[in-house]
Amino acid sequence: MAIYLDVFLDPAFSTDQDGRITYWNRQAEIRFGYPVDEVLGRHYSLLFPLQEGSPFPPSIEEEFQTTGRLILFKVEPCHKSGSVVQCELTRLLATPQNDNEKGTQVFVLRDVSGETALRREVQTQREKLFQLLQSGLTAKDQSGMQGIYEAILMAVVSGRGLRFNRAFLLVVNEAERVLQGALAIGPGSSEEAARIYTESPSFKNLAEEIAYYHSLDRQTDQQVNLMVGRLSIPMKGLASQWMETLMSRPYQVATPEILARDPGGPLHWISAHLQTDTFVAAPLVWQGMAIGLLVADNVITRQSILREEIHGLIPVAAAAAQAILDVRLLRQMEINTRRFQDASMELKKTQESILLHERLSSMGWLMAELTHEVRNPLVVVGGYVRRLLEKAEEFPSIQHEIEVIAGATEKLELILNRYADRVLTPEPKGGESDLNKVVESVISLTRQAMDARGVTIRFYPSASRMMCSLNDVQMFEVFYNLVTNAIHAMDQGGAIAVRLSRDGDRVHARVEDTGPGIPPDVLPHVFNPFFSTREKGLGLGLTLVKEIVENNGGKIKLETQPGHGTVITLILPA
Amino acid sequence: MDKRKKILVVDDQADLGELYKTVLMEQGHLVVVTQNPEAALELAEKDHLDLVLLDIRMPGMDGIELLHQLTNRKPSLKVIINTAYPSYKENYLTWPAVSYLVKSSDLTELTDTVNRVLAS
Repeated sequence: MAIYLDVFLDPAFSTDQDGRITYWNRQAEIRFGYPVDEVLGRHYSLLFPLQEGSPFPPSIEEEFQTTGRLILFKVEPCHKSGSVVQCELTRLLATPQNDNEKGTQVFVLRDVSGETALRREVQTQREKLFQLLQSGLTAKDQSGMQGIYEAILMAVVSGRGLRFNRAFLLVVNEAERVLQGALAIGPGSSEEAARIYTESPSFKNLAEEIAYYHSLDRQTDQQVNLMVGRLSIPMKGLASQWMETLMSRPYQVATPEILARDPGGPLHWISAHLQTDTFVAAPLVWQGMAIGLLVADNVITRQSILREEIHGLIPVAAAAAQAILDVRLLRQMEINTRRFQDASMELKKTQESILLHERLSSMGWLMAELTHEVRNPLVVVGGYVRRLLEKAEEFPSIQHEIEVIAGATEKLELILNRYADRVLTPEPKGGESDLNKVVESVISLTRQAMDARGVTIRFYPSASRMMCSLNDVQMFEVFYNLVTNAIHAMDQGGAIAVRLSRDGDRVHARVEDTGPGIPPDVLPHVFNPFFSTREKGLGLGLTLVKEIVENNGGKIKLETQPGHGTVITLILPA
Repeated sequence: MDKRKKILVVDDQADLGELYKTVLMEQGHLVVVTQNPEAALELAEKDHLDLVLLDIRMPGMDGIELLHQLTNRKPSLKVIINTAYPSYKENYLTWPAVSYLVKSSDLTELTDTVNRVLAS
């Protein structure tokens, strides 16, 4: 009897007919903290201090007395320290071999608190994975997924869990329609199995156990992982039918006899690949969807698979299915999130460009307001001054002063015209423009600024009238901006050259300067609105030039050589 | 009978109105100036006018609305728009006006246009 009880991996003890303990196995010593010497001869009720004598209600006790057996009855014995251990108790009346053994009872206590803890641990792992993914870890990072797989398989093989020897996880690959091996855990030999199940230290939780497991020699694990890695069952034809059958059941047991009845089926593939002929396979199904397969065996210790062990596997399989599905959903969510991020980036860009347009149009509005406010008084001053000028001969002593005021107001009006609201709209206006005249008026307007900086200008007009099909005001704006930019680039003096020439039905205009050129890091931005290297610039000049030219079917080219100067070439429709 | 043509200048800037009055009177016209669009409507109602010189941006009723009220009541009345804004020229609401001028201290365009319109 003692030898018989020692092979149990669960705490077990025997009593005489009066309930006095006659044998106490090693697992019972570990689990309940009482050394064997301390309990021999004492009544088993010492394990149930909370139940005051007997953990069995009268009706259950009566049933046991009639049938001689009580299977997986939930009880709450206490550890020596007083902590409750949730157990399922199996109580059997032994068949006596001799008179001494008459009335001997065997008690096997299956610690289910471990399983509860393990299921909780799987749940914790899922939550941890969720958090990791939510905090930006990509689902591509396998460690999260691996953590889940490990927790599932540890629950199957752990000494505190289902105590199978080995566990394999196969996952349905939807894209390739195959059932693929994902991960395996298990010892390679019975010695190692014994070490894991019996001699391993007691763990507070599964995380500790997983850490311990990681510290073990993983050589054997690599071996089982190689086996499972090679496993790939196509989910079509017979295999798919078998999968369907399998998925409709909570589990499928394979024994040499069953395998013999179904030669060549997927059970055989599993059997061959995992080198086992006695195993239990539990499908991972979630709301009718096949997710994978959990396979467990006792190939090392050769212990037969107990019914309660199989039943323990089912909730683990359910948790595993849910966990794997969670990860899949998270991956999908991640893809969707990325799509959403892309879309919102796009949206942001659009918003920025709308904002820019708003800024530009409000700028245009501001200019219009300003020109209105300034123009009215300016017309009054200019109008009267002109009248005075007509009568200037009458006042010879102040004739020069009147001329200066008239010249200044005329210049002011010219500047104002540039900023009139139509100038700020680059849309084609139609009309035509004599470029020779436009350039001349730009030069006359900027002469003072050039003189102040020691900048000289040379204008090479075309011999004939140089008409281009852009409106006067717009062309004025274009050249005014180009020349002003050149002037501002040459604070220490320099030279500007403006050349006009004709090439078939195109007009070529070149504005060259001997300034410092444009640095490479600035170059990509020069046409951007509101980009300016000048403190007082609005940064709209070149943007407007480019828009006017391009909107009217022209082209603009910018060449720059740091230290030597910049050349802007316009090609315009004649 | 006085052969001189009668012009109404509507502009919220009093000194501009004065300038226009001086210049146009020199051209031999009778000129009435008002800064108030409502008053302009009244004047057009009770008096015979040959021409109205109209600013657009004014407090209260703007020039465009005044233009429509004037042309509704006196379809034969000639109106010249004289504004600081070039952009209204593209606004079809200003098209009932016989001419569109952008204000400038060079008043030759103004006097030329006024004389041309009055002669037609």
